[in-house]
Amino acid sequence: MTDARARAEERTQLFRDLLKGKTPKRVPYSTAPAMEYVIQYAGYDLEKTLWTLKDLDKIYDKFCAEFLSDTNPVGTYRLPTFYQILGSKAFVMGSGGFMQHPEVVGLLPEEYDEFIASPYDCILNTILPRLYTALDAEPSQKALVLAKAYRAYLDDFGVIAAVRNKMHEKYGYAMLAAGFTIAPFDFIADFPRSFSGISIDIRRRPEKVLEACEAVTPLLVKKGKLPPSVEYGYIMIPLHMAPYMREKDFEKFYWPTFKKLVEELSANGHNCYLFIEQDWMRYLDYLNDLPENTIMRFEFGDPKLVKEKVGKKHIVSGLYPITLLQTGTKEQCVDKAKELMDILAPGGKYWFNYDKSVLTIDKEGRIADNLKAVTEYVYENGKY
Amino acid sequence: MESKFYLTWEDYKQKFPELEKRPEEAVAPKLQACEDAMFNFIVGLLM
Amino acid sequence: MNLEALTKAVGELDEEQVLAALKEFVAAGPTEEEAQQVVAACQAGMAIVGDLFEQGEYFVGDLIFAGELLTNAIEILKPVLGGTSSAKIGKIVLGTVAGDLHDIGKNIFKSMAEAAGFEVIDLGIDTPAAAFVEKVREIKPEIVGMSGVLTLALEAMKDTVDALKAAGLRDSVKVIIGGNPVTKEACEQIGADAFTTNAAEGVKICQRWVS
Ligand code: B12
Repeated sequence: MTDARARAEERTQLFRDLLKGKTPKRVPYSTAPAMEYVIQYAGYDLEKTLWTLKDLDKIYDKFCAEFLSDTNPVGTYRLPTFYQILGSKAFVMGSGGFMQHPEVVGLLPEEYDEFIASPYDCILNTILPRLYTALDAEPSQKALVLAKAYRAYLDDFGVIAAVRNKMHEKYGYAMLAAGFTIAPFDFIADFPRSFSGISIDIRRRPEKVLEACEAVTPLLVKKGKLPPSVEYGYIMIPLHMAPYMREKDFEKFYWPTFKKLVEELSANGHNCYLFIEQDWMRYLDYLNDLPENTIMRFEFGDPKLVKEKVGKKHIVSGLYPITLLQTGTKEQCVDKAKELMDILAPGGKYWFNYDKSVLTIDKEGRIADNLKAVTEYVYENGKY
Repeated sequence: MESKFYLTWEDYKQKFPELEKRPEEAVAPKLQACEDAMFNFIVGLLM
Repeated sequence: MNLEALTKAVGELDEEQVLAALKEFVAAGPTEEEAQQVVAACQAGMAIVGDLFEQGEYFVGDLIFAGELLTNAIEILKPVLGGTSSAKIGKIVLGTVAGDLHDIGKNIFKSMAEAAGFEVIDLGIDTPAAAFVEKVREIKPEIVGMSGVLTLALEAMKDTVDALKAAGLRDSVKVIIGGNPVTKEACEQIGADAFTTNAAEGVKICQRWVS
């Protein structure tokens, strides 16, 4: 067995244990930078590289050689080419090359019934042509645009997969399949109705919102499902709207269909990986109710409370503030890692990760230095 | 799923009766994979 | 008209009750003065909303709805606000600054400023400095309001103030900035006259400037 193979095996075992609720040999660790940071770190032009993906293997090789991680750091969600072909209004490249999402409305309030009758038909007939302007065309044109965009999508994510595999062969990362889906209420909010639109709808047409959440749930379960052949993997679900709602509204509109989604995906044999954006401390009791060993990566919150309220039943992660990497001294950064490990690691069910990904590079290189110091600390002190 | 844009094996057979003569265990999963890939792409555009 | 009940209904975001009460009020053909009292009662309701937000009873979603509710309320009252609506107390050129697409806070400030009698010229989101300069030159407002929630918005605010200076327009207007990241230090650095993270307070500052 080569070194990389052996390392991959060791790392995969960590996650086999973690995902089944067993205490692994040491605390599993994921690194912080997103692809945008890695490109800049290697000294490449961000915007051009996101379009061409040229030299992406060299770019990641530099990063992987310098920064340890148990999970494969190669990956991204948004690449510009297929969004461009589709004439996307939902995702646009901002100055500097970062992909951004402005507020958009794909579904008008009077169109809820159409959505409820068949969400998938409504998405294709009504929502997509509004948000993806190149699909607002005569049928043959529309079919061609979709074909071109899908081609670009497969090309680009094919490159990502190849680079991912190359790094895996060389550095030996944990082998984990990953799915992706969204909570039903967030799905309705994000692109069909917008942050503002949904906030108004839950007061003006509460019944429609509830029916729409119900109607779209099976699609989102389907979207998230990993093939049964996958033995170890997780389904990533980033959570958006709940912190901006009153508990009363959360309980009525957000929770029921979200819970159903997580339960159905878990019953299929895979762990859900909730990326819990913003502050969910007031909802910890709800979260604890989800199927055992759901991965919960928090952005903000009190680690002690998290460990106490959800840490016995579930796998906790996150909470390390990436802003500290940017502003803190090495010592402060390591102290923070120690503080989190001391609270969250005992008893297992802990995956060291940051509160979110690092997108932009800093001129002084402080982030990189601090990241190395934190990584070293976690690897040296994470043994059970 | 209620949709005219997503076809199951049953839908395919109805649309193309000659498929009845083809080896289902080979053809059905292949078609299904394409249907699912496009479904995931489309729904992914709103995520 | 039971003004206290109206204030309470606005505070509770009870849209149905608020709109029904206002429609009934307008149908009875009130005087302008009475209408002004009703506007004041609605504003007092918004202040309650603001307080409940600070106390963690309401959240961002509720603020959005409150803004929408107030806009609709003013819309119903417009016909009976008659005379006063032509005698605006001042003009505000308002926008979310370049690079920033967030406008929830800006829209809340806008509806409250309009309710207080200002004419608001809304430049929308991602507004380049040049667009502010052009509008200020054209409209000659008393006040320029800038909104932003991204950290990078602070830079864009500074660029906008600098552009107003370069155009020789800075001294003819008061500049107020708002949005979560603004602070006293940021305000000084940007060269604005006032800052706030609270729309109601922002309106009060503007009222002081034009009185
Ligand atoms: C809603 C929201 C969105 C919505 C925006 C919808 C819309 N139409 O605005 C959507 C989903 C579209 C969105 C998109 C993005 N967002 Co956003 N968003 C938020 C969120 C959740 C709330 C912001 C908000 O509206 N607050 C409520 C309002 C009422 O508060 P406010 O603006 O401070 O306004 C009050 C006062 O300040 C004052 N006021 C405001 N303006 C003015 C002006 C004047 C003149 C006066 C007197 C007063 C005043 O009055 C208001 C009421 O009192 C925040 C997180 C948070 N908790 O704050 C993130 C947040 C602001 N977003 C963030 C980011 C990064 C983005 C994106 C870049 C993400 C992406 N990668 O695409 C994009 C934006 C692209 C861009 N270039 O702007 C970050 C910003 C990080 C930073 N420090 O820069 C935040 C902090 C989230 C986070 N924690 O990462 N977002």
